[in-house]
Amino acid sequence: MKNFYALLHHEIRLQARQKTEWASLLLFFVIVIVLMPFALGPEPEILRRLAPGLIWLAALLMSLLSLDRLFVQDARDGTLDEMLISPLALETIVVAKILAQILVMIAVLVVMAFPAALLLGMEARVLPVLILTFALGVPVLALLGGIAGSVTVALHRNPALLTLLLIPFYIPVLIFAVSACDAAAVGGSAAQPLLFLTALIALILPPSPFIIAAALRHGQG
Amino acid sequence: MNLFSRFAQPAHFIRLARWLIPILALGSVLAFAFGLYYALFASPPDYQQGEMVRIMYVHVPAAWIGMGLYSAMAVAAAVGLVTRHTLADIFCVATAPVGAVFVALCLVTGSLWGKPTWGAWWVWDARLTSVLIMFFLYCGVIALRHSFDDDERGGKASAILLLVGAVNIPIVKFSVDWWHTLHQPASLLRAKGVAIAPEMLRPLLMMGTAYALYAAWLIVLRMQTVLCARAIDCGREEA
Repeated sequence: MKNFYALLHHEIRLQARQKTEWASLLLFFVIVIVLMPFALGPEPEILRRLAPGLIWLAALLMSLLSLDRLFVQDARDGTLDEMLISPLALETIVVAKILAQILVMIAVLVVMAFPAALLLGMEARVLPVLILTFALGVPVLALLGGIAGSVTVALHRNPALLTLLLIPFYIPVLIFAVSACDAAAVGGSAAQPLLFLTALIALILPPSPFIIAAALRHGQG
Repeated sequence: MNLFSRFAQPAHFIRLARWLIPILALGSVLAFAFGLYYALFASPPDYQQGEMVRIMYVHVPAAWIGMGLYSAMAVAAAVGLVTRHTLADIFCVATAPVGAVFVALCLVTGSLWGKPTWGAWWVWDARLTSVLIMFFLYCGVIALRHSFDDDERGGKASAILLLVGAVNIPIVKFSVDWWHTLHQPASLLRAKGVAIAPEMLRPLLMMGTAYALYAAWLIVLRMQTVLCARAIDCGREEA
């Protein structure tokens, strides 16, 4: 457990030091949001109704962009080989890496939710639900991304392939996250979709470290 | 040595395939001849949809086979990952494009059926969406395999993706029960018994048999081709 916390700490610090990469991802997120009124027209009513969906779409695209940083960099500079021969279980290392990614991504998205909500004129009462859906949805995105990233780690960068592999699995997260926000927007209870998001975490969390570790071992073998 | 592992040897399989291919070919041609006759001529039109109901005989079996092949591939992927048997991997290579085409056929015929009966080519119904996702999964499996130069690595990566994607199978099957949407619920495999007129059930089952035999024919033929291609590759490397 001590090793795990040390790893987690190390990974978070690594993520936090990649300031330019996160800055460009943030900029990407904002630009996608800013483009929406041009694509859909500036009517505040339409934008207000669509705001949660648009923000989640931007978050999804952003997470797709940040994915290949999870294992590709490690494979390139040899860290992955170190991970494979380390006395620690590969599963533990994988969980630490992905947890760090999740924490940093949630932090970034929570910060960005405020300006995005402002730009699209989203109602204030939806904001807490939106943040809650980020907290519940991002772990699923990151774990699925980890699986796809580990399966494709031996390949050269091919963002289109990663997108093709991931989008089908991202759809349920998008559905439940947006329906939670929509329920909150009309003043209803968002409990059911939020519970579904939690169920998705419960479904994907137990097997994914083993899947990712197995894929990494096969990829290097 | 039991029967399964006996025929799972590539050499035995080739011998078996030589027998199977003409039998399956003949069987599927005969089944299509009977099935199409009953589906197009010897079955009654629906009292609401009229002749339109005949689209069912090409649409429903395509959905069965598309879904069944994905399930079979998921099982083969699991067997292949555990036992590292080549034939399981070759089954997945051979089946993926066949299954993808059947799912595409299901989507296209469904769309053609939807326009006159529902008034729209496409609706975002749970069943339609989950089948579309299955089509993307097939595409992902094929694309992932072909992005590797090494057959073995590509096979393992796509086997993992196949297993993860198997989550979608129950969603496709039960989407019509979980969400009350436009697509009609199951009328064949359901708890309260078959809910379809016998004179429509007969051509439907015949067409299902024809599709299954045709898919089996294609798959065995493709498996034989892949085995031969790999043997040639091995020979080249040695030479």
